[in-house]
Amino acid sequence: MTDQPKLYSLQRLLEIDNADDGFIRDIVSVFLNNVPANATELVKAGDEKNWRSVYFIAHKMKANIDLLCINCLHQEIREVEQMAKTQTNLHQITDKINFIYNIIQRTSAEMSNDFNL
Amino acid sequence: MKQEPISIFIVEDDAVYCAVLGHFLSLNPDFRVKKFFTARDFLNVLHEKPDIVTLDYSLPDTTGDSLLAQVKEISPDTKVIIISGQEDIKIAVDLFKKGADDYIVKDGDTQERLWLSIGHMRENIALKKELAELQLEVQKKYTFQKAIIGNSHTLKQVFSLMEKATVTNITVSVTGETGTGKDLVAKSIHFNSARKKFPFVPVNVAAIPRELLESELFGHEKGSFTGASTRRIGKFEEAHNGTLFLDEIGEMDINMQAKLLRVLQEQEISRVGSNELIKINVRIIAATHRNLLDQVKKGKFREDLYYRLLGLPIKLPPLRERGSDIILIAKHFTDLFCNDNNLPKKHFDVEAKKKLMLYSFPGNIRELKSVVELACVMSDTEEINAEHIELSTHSNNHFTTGSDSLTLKQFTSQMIQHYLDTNNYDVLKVADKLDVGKSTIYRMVNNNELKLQRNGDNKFND
Repeated sequence: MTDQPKLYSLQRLLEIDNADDGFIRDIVSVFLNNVPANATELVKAGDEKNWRSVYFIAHKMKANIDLLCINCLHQEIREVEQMAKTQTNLHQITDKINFIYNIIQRTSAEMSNDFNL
Repeated sequence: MKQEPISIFIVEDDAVYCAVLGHFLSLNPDFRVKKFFTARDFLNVLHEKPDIVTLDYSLPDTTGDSLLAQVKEISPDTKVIIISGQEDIKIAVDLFKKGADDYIVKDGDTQERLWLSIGHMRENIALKKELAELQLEVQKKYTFQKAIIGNSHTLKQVFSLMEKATVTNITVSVTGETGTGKDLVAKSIHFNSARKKFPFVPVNVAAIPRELLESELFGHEKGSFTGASTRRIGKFEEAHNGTLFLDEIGEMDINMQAKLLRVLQEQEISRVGSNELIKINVRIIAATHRNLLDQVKKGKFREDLYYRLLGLPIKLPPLRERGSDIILIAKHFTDLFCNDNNLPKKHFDVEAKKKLMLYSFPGNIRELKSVVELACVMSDTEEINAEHIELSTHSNNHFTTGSDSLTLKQFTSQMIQHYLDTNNYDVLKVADKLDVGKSTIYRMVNNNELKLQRNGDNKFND
């Protein structure tokens, strides 16, 4: 059996000066405490067609997704942010939100496992 | 440049990003970092006036624009760095217009750009703090009582007029003999007035060739005359919102006086070689050792300019009329000179003090300073004796006792008599100048130790 490629990478965090194990663990812990909850809020706002909230949550998640190099969401989160902001192509938005939610859940599980958190 | 610790507040609702920024900025031990997740929490402590704030543009409880405006209102000196997920040039330009000091997009280079930005701001903050400290130091230096030494009644009257000058914008005219400290009075008025944060620009009218004075005062355009190779602003523009000190105004050429009068009336100048009028807001302090009214009578000074410049007149007394101030000032100059030259502190013995008190000092404070400095050099001990005090032989206006073997009582009588003779027998004036009680003088008159009339009997009796 081969290992699945990781959904996230610590590369950008490791580029920060003095990014020791303690710092990485702290950031991962803050990520796990916040970003999955953000993803749940994103789904809820999408269900309620509250596009302003969708925009703000996607905007906030974007920086975290980039920071933890969750590359498969790089484009998706930007598209959701843009669709909600301009309220265009909204027929595609629910699928994209669900995709983001699923990836965040899987990434969180990976991180929890990797860091025993 | 001295690098002092700076306080940085991070306002960021994204917990992950906030943790990253907090870690990153805390790498510098001189950065005192505090983190806030909401605008409300941040506003509660904004009164601490942090040096720098990094502000997330999209906060849950307010907008970046609104928070920026509040920071600039409550703590205008705080530098604000907007950190935003939006790469929108219009938003960035708008925020810069509203007072943001930098705008950084959240991406892979955020930390590096933030580090650079804070580095530049830190230098700027250090310079501003240094400037504020210097301004405070200058202000302290020019506190009247520190800058101008003396306790005499005449000097207290000068202080009272200077106080009035500092609380208004009135033009001030300072007159007094050469060396009485007219420039010090002008500086002290400026640095104790509301204009103290703006320039104090001195111009010595007598020191500038007549043909160059107009360009010196009003500036010139490139090519306006031979040698004008670049545009240059004049002293009036340089002193905008501050004070222009026109020293030796009595030496100004009559044609130039007409131009100065027009500028003072219109509050606007035009550079030599230009027709453009430039509004100015300048407080004028003019000084002269001449009697300007006499100059007006002789036709050498315009009467209209005289009245325009007169404003609040401050007449500085010559040193010989300041009695025991001479000793206070001599001591001040001695301390300064010894300190600057790593000499032990020196003091004047009684004979040296007598010699100083009895000399007329035609060169006033400037002359006293040079006499005292020479005495410090000539004296090999911590005491300055009369023989160390070299007085000008050009002046015959000094009192002599005629004998070296007088008692202190005899000497005191002769000195007070000298002051009475040269001050129209005005007991109050002499008492003030010599810092002795008037009753002491009257008692000595009653004891026939002093005379209240030249070659005559005393009129005064108890």
